[in-house]
Amino acid sequence: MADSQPAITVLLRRGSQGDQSAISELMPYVYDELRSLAGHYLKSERSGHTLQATSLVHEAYLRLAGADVEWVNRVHFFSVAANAMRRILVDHAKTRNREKRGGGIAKITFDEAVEVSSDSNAPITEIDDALNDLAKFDERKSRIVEMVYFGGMTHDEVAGSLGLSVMTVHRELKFARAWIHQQLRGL
Amino acid sequence: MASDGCMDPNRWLRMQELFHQASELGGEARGAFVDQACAGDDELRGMLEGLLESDSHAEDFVKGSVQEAAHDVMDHDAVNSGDRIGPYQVVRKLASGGMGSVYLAERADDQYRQRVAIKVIRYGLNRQDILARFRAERQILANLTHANVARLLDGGITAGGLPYLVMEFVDGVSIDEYCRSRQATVRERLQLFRTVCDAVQTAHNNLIVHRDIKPANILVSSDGVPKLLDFGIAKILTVDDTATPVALTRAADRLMTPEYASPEQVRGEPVTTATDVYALGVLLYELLTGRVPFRLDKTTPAEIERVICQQSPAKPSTVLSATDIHFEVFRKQIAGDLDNIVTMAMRKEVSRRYPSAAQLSEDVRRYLEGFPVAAAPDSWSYRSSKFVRRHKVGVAFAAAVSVLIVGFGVGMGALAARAARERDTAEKVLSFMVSLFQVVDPENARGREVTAREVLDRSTAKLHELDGEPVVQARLLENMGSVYENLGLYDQSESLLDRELSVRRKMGSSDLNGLAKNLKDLAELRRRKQNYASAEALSRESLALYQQIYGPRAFRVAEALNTLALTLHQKGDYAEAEKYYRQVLDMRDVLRRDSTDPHLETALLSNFGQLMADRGKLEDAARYLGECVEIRRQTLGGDHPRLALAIAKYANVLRDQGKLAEAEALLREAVAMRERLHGAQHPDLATTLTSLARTLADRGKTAEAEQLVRRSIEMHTRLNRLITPEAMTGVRLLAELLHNGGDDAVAEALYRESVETTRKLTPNHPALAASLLSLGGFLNDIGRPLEAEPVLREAVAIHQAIYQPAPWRIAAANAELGACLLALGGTTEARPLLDGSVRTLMEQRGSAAAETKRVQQLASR
Repeated sequence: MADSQPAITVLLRRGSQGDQSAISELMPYVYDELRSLAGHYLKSERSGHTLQATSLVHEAYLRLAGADVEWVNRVHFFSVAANAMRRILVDHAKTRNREKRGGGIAKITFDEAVEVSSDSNAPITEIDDALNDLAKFDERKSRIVEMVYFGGMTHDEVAGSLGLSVMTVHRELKFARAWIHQQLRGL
Repeated sequence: MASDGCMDPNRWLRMQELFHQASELGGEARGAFVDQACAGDDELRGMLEGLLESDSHAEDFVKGSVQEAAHDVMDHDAVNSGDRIGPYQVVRKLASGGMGSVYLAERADDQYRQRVAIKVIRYGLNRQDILARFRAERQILANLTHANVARLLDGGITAGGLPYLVMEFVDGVSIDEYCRSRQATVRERLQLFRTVCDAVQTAHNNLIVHRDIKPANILVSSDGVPKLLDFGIAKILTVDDTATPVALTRAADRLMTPEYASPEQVRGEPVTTATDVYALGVLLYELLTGRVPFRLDKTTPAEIERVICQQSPAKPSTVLSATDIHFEVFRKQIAGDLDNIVTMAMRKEVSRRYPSAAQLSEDVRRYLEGFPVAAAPDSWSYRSSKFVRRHKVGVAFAAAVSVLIVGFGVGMGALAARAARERDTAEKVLSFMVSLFQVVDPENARGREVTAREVLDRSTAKLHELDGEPVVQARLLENMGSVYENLGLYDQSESLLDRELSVRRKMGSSDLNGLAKNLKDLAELRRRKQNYASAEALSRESLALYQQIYGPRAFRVAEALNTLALTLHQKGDYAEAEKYYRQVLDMRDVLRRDSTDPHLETALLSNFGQLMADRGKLEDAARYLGECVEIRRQTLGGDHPRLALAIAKYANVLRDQGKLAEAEALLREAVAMRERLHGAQHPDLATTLTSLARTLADRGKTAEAEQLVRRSIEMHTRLNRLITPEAMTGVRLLAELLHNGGDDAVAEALYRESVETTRKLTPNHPALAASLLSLGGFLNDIGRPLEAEPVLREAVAIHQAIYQPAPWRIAAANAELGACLLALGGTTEARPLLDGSVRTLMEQRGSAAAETKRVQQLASR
């Protein structure tokens, strides 16, 4: 790889080609960005501002890659970052679960108002399992859900990345999430 | 839970198709569709209906779940109270930061209780790298001991696999919070800041750069001792590897606070001590204003780079919010020097910043002690303005104010007895003046040095607001003109008076008094600018008006007579001048009785005395001038331009009488007085300096004489007044001194310059006569009588034309010519000239006069 190219781009390209080590190399930086962004938002005085994981990733991308990186790479980044984000969230939840079972009291000092009701949400591990199940017989849908909800990509970007029409992405997404909901909360 | 995931692909596709079709239908239609499509297949129906039901909740559900998980991750604490980290036990959490959380812990040994702060680095950073770097930095950091630096003690990895650093615990609040809660004054903040700078400098001396200076990293204990945290830790935690490309470095450097990042840091260039200096500048900015110079909340790296590398921060004094009570007070103190100090520390270019934290600290110290600071936008004008502020604006400004007030006051008093219309005008003038002074108040000036000069310039600009009120405008112009005059700024004054005159002429005969005064003031000014023709005309007109308004024996008439006499006097028309002076002298009693101008009588004495001196009547001159000095000493009480003038004139006469010691003492007094009054640059000061120099030269104190006359010439030049008789007097004196010192080449050039310049004055000007005489005498002295002769013949001719009333001058000129002719070998003409001159001078100037001695010397060759 050319030395002059930003390493992020290199990693992104490798990651998009399925290079798992590239993905894991990216993770710390993604995390980096996410954490500091979260910190920024938490400090923000805008009350009622909802933190969205997706927008965090979006921002993380911008910070890491800069605004002048090619569109192609940007999309690749998102798709990789989406996967990274998912893994981070799930790994963390699993670690936490282990700790909980171990008896330590984990304190969550989260003081910003979040407009989500925890009753209706599912643990991320369950979402993750559902996605894994979905991927067994419809990988495309699973990826689309991951890209949109964990990567913050727009439908256009997903369409471009996967070579689909935007309409197709709409439909796939609509169905996939309904399916997930039904699996986890359906009667 | 997920059902047995495997589904027949066809079924799966069918499900989707039905779902999409059904979801586009509503209510009844949907139900019918589902019935129809799923007929017979309950499983399919169940799933389809389930999906349709989920459809409305699904978006929020998935989004929310992910979001919550994200929050959880972002905010999770890895460490809890009671946990053991190395030999320490966690007491409680102190803070959360970008790098991780900080906990208060105690050493668990029995040996001693030590309180420490443990920074646990969050998940995601390369812990092996961190530890490796920590080990590398550890020794360097251990050497950094300073009362204001929190020491780095230890490091390791927690049981949970997270890296941690152990630091000295500082019980305090961040420096900005400390200042805010204590309502610290600017001085207190600056002193705290200096302590911080000193600590940073110590670290720099140990080759440690902080890299992350910001308020959160500076804690101040309750007894006011600041301590810097995280010294060198940024380096440990930063990816510094040169093999790592810039973009990643930048990403990892999200650890640092963008608002405090220097341009070079943002660009990923090497970090140096200058980076800390920049951050100190930002810290100072924040301490003084309560906010950071750049807001970088929602910006991309590219935008951050642009802002930090290119955008200039607003000056601290300009960003203070009017709503923030504490800081409103600060604004006045910050504007100027502190603005400049901050600006210099925050320069984009490293080379333009303070070279060290110590120098930044030094400049702050200079500010605190009232000295000029090194940081300045433009050093020479800054220094001069600082000088002016310290010493002179006070005086000059006060003088300007007093003139305005006196001018106004006089009007007010006179007007009190008159019609309401006049009172109206006076009130308008007053309110305009008040608004003027609001401009003048330096505290309103937002950090710029305001001089009296600026005020007037601004006021001049404001005057057009009064175009609809010519009477008010005219009166204001009158007042302002005199202020400019006092400041020696004749050009501005003249244009104002000109404007006033044209306004008045248009007004016709409604305010003859004002018109007459305008004419007189303008005449006065023109006179000072050697425009004698205009001055004479205006004076005569003014006189005529006053005589018309007040009759023959009124003080205003006397005033006008004095102006006219003086004009004629300076023009060289001594006979006419004496005529008018004597008229005024006749009215001395009137002057004393009626004049509101306390100076009129003494002005008369002074002018007349001067005339007597110019005509060679030294005893008379001394008498009148001496009287003038005495009266002014008594009535003016201390320094006053008129007193200085009187003293100088009197001294000149004494000098002519040969009383050199007395003359010197008086002239020194006059010079000192002028310096106190006018500052370093003023035409009258320059003239006085020349007079003193002349006296010193006559006494043989040539070195000092030369120094003073050079200073005088320079001053004339600076004030654009080199083309004046007064300046040429100085030039000739310098030429004489140089000639006596042996530098004939320069002396000749100067003499010739004097001739050329004075030729530009009115024809047959006394100054030209003097210049020609000096040049001619010089040429003769250096043995070039051929060249001297035409010059001296011209000189004699002029002298004869203008100095009829003062034969000794003609005699002096003749003597030079005689000497010249003698050198050329023509004794017939020469001898009588010389001998006659000696006689005349002995009679009229006495043996002590310099001219007499010169002539005697010439005659004896």
